[in-house]
Amino acid sequence: MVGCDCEGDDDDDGPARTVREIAEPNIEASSWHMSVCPYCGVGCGLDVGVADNRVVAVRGMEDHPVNRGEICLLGQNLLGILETDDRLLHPMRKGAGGMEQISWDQASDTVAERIRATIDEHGPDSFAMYVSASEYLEEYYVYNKFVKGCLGTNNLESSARLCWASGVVGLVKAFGGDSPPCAYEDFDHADLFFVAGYNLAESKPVIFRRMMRSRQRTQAPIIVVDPRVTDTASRADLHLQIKPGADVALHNAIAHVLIGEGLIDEGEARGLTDNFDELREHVTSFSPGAVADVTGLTAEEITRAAHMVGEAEAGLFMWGQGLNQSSIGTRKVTTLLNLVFITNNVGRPGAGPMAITGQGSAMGLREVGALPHLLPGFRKVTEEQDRAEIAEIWGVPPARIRPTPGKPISMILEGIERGEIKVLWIIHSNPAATFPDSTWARRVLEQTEFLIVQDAYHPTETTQLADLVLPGAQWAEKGGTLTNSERGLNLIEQAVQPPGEARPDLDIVMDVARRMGFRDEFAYENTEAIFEEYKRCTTGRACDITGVSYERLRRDRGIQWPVPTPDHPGTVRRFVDRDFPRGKVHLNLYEHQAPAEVPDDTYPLNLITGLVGMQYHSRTRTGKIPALARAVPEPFVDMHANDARVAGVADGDHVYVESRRGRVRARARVNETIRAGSVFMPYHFGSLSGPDQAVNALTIRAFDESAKQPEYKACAVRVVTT
Amino acid sequence: MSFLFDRSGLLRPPGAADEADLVGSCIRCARCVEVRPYQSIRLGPITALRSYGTPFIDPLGSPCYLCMRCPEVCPTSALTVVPAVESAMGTARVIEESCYSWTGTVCNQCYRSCPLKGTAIDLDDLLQPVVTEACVGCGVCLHVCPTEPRSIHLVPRGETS
Repeated sequence: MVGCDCEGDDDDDGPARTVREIAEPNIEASSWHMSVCPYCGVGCGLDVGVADNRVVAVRGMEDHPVNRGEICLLGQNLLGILETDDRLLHPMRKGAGGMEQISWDQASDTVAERIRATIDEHGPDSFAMYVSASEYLEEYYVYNKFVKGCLGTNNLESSARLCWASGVVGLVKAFGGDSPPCAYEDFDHADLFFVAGYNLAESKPVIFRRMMRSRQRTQAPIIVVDPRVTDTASRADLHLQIKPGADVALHNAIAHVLIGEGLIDEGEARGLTDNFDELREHVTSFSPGAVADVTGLTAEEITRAAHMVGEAEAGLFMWGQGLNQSSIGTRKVTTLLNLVFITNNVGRPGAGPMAITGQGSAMGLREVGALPHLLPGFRKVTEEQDRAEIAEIWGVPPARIRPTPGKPISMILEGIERGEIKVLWIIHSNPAATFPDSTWARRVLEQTEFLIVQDAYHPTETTQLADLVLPGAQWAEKGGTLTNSERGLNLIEQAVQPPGEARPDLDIVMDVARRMGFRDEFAYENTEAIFEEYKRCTTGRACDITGVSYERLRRDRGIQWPVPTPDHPGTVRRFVDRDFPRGKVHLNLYEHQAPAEVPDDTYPLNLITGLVGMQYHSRTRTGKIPALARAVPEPFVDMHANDARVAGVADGDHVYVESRRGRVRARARVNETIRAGSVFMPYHFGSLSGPDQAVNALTIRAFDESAKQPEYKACAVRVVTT
Repeated sequence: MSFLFDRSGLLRPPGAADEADLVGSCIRCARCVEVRPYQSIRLGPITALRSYGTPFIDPLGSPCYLCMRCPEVCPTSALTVVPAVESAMGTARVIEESCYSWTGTVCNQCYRSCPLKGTAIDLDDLLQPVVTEACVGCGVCLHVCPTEPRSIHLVPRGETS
């Protein structure tokens, strides 16, 4: 039986893997450096080959536990992202004649002076920093110390808000703490895969193949819940093609069947959860028949799914942006976790909730606390003791750390619009393209009194709006550590020097901090010294990495926290002993609620945005690589044949997709891969892609009530012919 | 384009008559070119001799997306209206030795982009692409293949590889 016997499984998974080396022709690497792919949160290990300070080869790391040599198409094309024509090579400042090159001295002094001036005049909360979710632990640690410990504002926000905020808030509401329990090896042991709103075939190809390998061996069935027939859904044993937004009703209905038909052990469920009988009562009204209308699924489909869930011995439940990017994202996630708990799928091989983030460091930034409400080691700014402990390690007065959470990006932008936030420093992120209602976001960013954008490329949609741009190093050009989505730590070695005058982001921020007088706080000799200081913040915490060092990470690749001592082997799976933060886990009771904007007579279709496998986010890296870009050279819109007929649209037509906020020119793809009533567009295209190509010009500023994550999967649009 | 003329002959639009009939019946009116939403149809240059002015597709430039509009406007029997699944333009084959998904990099662009998705190219249990009998030779897989040279070999109908 799957899930009972784990021995030998790792090797028994089909044909041997091939490790492909991507190398520049006729150049031999003279040295190799350990690294991790800079894209998604899976965290595939890479070897980076260097000759004459150039990256000339990349290959999947053969002995890395995550990918064992395999990579995906994005990793395959990493050589193409480093030496592009649009690398930002020098600091530049907006002048009368456009952007003018300045020296690093001038740039750093300007940043330091502007931050100092605005804080002196308007208080610390007139400053905010917005960073990507692909930085390293040391970087987040320094940004955190600088913003919260030195400047005295908690306005340190990250783009993780756009992709996993609801998922994390859901985990915290259910488990009582942010500690994803599963490991990737659970893919090898599960006997059911429940995949909700998650196209991992395109977004996590290496993990999807691992799941397919496992299924080939075990025949474990796959349930996919998705309004689209994605590549993931097309491999499913049961595809529930749900109406967009109806997940809470579906989850409650599955719970209804599980409980009503006696498919679960209620005694176990009571032992594990603190409020099983409340859930039992709550879901009585959610019979499969009662939710058929709202979910668009038949009672038989829902009942069948419930039976598959109930019969599994080790169910692995995973979800993605279909749940997270919603105005009720937290409700969707927590009601899915209800199913995990009442079926007792926790703490055993193959069982549990699997939360794989979209960006490479979205786990790490949480443990370091690079969000407006957190401090290092999953501490909270609202807790006096937490502030005192961190202030001591940081060597700053405890009162310097504010007791109220800072602002999420939506409120930062609103704060700029109201004139409350004067200076915004953005690091390796492109909100002018990725924030919903991007026409509004661009306007707000442009009116920021002083906008500093640190990036590897220029122009991006966001650097275009900056008053000052700073050239930051990117992957392979800086070093540090990174935690992947299974809590696994990895060391990334700096392989080459950054191009031009670009510098590692740590150096840039610490230089400014020192110019502002914070010399003692940033007297680190090297990156490892920062790691060692951060480690002190984790002792005794869930993310304890006291037993990890750079030296150990060179050997123990992907070691999973907690690792409290140097001889501790790491923790593959959390909560094996039911040691939950609150004693028991909590079931969350929610009703279905429609998205913020639903189709009507004027805008009759629901827009779902999402990714395609050959692109990443706003294309600042992947859009320039012909091998990746040629498959989807322009925005497209997938339409169901019925909707296309009504709109008078034929396959291949150029059309305008219009919402109340904007319009996008796109190529219509008429097919049966999307549920009638909805259309799908890739979210990668921004205003730099071409006229009328910014897909987020359509999307809506609606946010999850507790996680403040935007709703990218639902807004009302119409499709008109050009 | 060289591969079209030098080795394998021309990849003709969907519903095309056999080569000799097409060359004979095509009146070089170029209406098929005018309706092309993807700018896929090109006309044989003078160096193409008998094929001068007749429609063909260069999948490296722009493949056929099976919109099936060109046969509808053809005034002769050169292009006949057929269902997309019977457009019989040619046959693709995956070159497994260089295909990413067969050699350690999970890719699947061909599968994902195929207009006859899931039927003409399928994936095996390990997500490695396999071309089936249902392939009509539209060339989209060749166009999107990220390897260089491409790991798809496309043989126009009537030609042998």
